[in-house]
Order: sequence, then C-alpha cells, then structure tokens
Amino acid sequence: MPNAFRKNNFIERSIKDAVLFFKYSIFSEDKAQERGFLQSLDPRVKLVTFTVLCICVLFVKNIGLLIILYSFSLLLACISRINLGFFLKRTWIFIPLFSLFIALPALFDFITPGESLCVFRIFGLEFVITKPGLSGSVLFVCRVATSVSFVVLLSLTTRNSVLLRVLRIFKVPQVFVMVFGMTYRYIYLFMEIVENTYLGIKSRTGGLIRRNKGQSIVAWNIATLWQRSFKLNEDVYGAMLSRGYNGEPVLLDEFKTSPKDWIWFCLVAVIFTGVIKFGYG
Amino acid sequence: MDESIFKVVNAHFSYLNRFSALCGIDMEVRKGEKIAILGANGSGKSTLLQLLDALLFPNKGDIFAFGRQLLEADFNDPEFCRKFRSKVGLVFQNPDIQLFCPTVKEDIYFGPLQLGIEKNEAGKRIEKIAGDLGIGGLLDRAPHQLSVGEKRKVAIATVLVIEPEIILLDEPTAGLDPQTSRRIIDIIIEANEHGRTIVTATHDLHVVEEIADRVYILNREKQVAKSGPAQELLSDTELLREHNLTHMHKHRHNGQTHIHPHQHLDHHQH
Repeated sequence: MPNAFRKNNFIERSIKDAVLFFKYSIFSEDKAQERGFLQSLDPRVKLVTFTVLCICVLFVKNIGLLIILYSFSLLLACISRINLGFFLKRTWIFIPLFSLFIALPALFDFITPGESLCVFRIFGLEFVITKPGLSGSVLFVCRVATSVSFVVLLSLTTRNSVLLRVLRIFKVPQVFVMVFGMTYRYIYLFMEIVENTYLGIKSRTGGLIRRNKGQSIVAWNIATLWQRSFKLNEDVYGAMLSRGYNGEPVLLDEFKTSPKDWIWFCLVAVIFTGVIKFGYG
Repeated sequence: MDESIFKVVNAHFSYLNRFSALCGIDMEVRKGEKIAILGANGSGKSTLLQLLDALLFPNKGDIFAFGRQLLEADFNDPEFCRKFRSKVGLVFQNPDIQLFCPTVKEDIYFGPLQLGIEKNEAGKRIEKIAGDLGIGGLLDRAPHQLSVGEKRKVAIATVLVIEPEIILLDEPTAGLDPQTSRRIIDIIIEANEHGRTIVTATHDLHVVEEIADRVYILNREKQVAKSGPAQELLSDTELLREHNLTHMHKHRHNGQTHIHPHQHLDHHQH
C-alpha cells in the first residue's frame, strides 16, 4: 500500500511540476513588463541586435573578450531590472551544465592532442589533460554561457507573443506566425484540461490507483485530449472564418522605433565590428 | 422593420450525415428585430446560428440572406465573402474558441484586418469599444489570464468591432455572475438601439423579455415548436414546461413543503 501511494505521488508530482514548469517558463511575463532598458527597446531591433551579439560570440576566439561580452550581458540584466541571482540561476544551472558534459571529453589527449598539462590514473587507465584541450573546453563553455545569457535576456525582456510577431521580419510567412501564436495560446488551455482531469480522477479514486488501471486512465486521457483538440481545431477555424479569414491572414503590426533603438543598434554594430577586428583570430 | 434579413425554409442539417441537428426549420428575421431562439440542450440552437452565419450549410432546404440564397460555392468569391462577413457577426458560446490570438488586442484587431478595414480606423473602433465595455485594461493581456466574464466581453468586442448589421449570440449569459450577465444584456440592448439586428440563442428565460421581441422555441424533434411575441410565449407556462424550459421547484414556506413551476422569469421584480 505505501508503495502504491508513493508511485501515485510520483505521477501527481510529475504532472503538477510539468504544468508548473510550463506556466512559469512559458507564461511568466512579469520580467517583460518591468520598465527596464531592454524592455523599452523595439522588439524588432532587439531581436536583430541579440542575433548579432550571438554571432559575435561565435566569432570570438579570445577568452578575455568573451568574459567582457559576458560581463556586458550581466550589465544589461542589471539595467533591465532583472535580479542578478535569478538571471545567473536561469543561465548557469541548466544549459551550460550540459555544455560542460560535452566539453569534458575534449579536455583529454584522445580528443585534443597537445602539450600535457596534468596526468592521472583511474582503474589503471592513464588520462592526460592537454593545454589545447583545456583552453578549447573553457572557450566552448564560455561561448555557450555568453550566448545563452543573451538569449535568456531576450526572452525575459520580451513578451512571447511579441517575439512571435517579430518573426515576420525574418520573412516567416504570416500563416506560420499565426499558427505559432495559436499554439502558444492553446497550450495553456490544454495544460489546464490535463490538470483538471487529473484532479477529477483523484477526487473519484482517492489518489490510489493500481498500475494497470493507471495505465488505462492515462491512455484514455491522451485519447480524450486528442479528441478535444480536434474538436477545438474545427471550432476555432469556424470562428476565424466567421470574422473574415480567407486562408491568408493579415496580422497586427504596430512596432515603432525611437532614437534610443538606433543608439542601441549602433552600439551593437560597433561591438560587432570590434569583435571581428580584434577578437577573431 | 419589414426588410427581411434571413429567411430559413425547411432547413435540415445533420452532422456526418448521421446525427440530426435540425429537422425542417422555418424562420424569418427582419431588419432591426431582436429575436431569441429558445430550446433545451441539444435542440439545435447553436447549429441554427452557425447556419445563419454560413459556417454550415443545410443538407436540405434553403437559407436566404439579404434576399439571396446562401450557397457554399458563393463563399469562394472573396468579395461576396468579405461583404457577408462584414454584415453578420457570431459570438460563440465558448469564448475560448473565439479568442485564439496570443493577446486580447490582436484578437479584437483580427476581424477588421481580415475584412480590409484600415488599421487606423480599426484602432479608433477598438478604443471606443474597449471604453464602452470596460475592457481597456485587458488589451495587452493573454486570453488565458481573463475570467469567464471578461472573456465573454472580449468575445463580444471582437464582433462589435466589425460593426455588423446582424449579431448572432450563442448563450451569451451562460455561467456568468448576475452583474456581468446584466452588463452583457445592456450591451445587446444598446447594439439593437443602434439599429443592429440581434438573434440570441439561450435557455436563460429571465433575460429573454429584454433581448427579444419575438421568440422561436425549438423542440426535441429539432423543429420550431412555436414562434411569436416574447411576452405571449413566455406566459405560456405549459408550453415552456413541455420544452424543458421550466422545471418543478420543491421548497419549504412557513414549515410546509410545496411544489410549483419555476422559470427564472421574475427574479428582479420590485
């Protein structure tokens, strides 16, 4: 009995945590609504300049310059009223962790041969860390951390719906932008359905479900959710037709640039030129 | 008042050619009228509204709009389609269906932009409607952040902004608190006073007298059981009970239990 309870607890926690994760990561837009520097920029200029900054990071081969760029991202976070602790947690805990695992094998001489820096043995096997291996790995991790910092800054300071609309400047067809927008809109609705369905099941079963029964409930839920999404799809299409949609959507475009946007654009252009001139090679 | 807007002649409709939703409906809507379609759940009210909005087409029978028969093929003509959609607006029962854009503002802009209304003109309309409906503070919010009442007001705004001649409303007050329900009724009445024709499907009898001059009652056979002036039909308690629009209410008064028909009609008499 306690075993079964633990298993159910695991399912409950998984569903709750997954839903919570989605709600916080996708739908939490409190930072984007702050009155900070990046929030005040035109989203189109912001998207272009952050893409340029990420390209800059790819070109840099100098660790010192990368650290300057990384410090620049921290400065941007501060003037955009983003809590530095929150920002560091977002960037350092998850994504660079994976890059570390990729960079780790590159430390050793069997991947990156060169001048030996440190030798050690594990279970009789000799491992050699090489100088080019170490500098290559550090460079890789720094690049990932800096790029991720810029991407996280962009996503934290821009509302998701606006980011979707900005895709149009990259000539993404309007119909795709609209489909992305609708997907974003309805994910939340379906998450609520999943959450409520689970609560409904729990209220009738008291929280204890045997494995076989649990599997059939989950399968039934997936099928029901699919049916609901299919029905919703038909109804939403009807609602679109009713308001004049004829297969070629016309979307709202109300972006405006200010002198501040152009100053920022010039600054990023200067950084890019500087990086290409001094940091590449 | 005499100009015919919609004329439905012996309309039949079934889903997947198996599940009958309407079985021989006759109906007429004249310009400037307020009409209510009453009926129990599953009587075909929503399907009838979708036929009037040309989202569905009858399997048998005819529907005429503005003196012209509505044929599915005609909607392949963009000009005809644009004209018809500019004249007729439908507020769906479930506002989550109607609000499909990432923000409220984009949702309200959607109709005017598709129908070729200038962005500046659409902006002016939105400003006015947002003020009238008290949704100015919601424009930058995502639809999932709204309450049911707010969603319903925004859904109505998405249709009003098109400035259609005819507004079709599917259960506009279902599941709303009394204050929001009152506001929605006021919006419907105001729209009618501005010359719009209103067709409302509902089973909330207490709102019918205000939002309808004439009433059509649909029966379980998915046909029109009776039509006529709202006051006349609403006073026919036997007719209402027969079509599941009233129920027997059992309660206690002065220590005695008694039963009477209950129809949610006179809840705010003074």
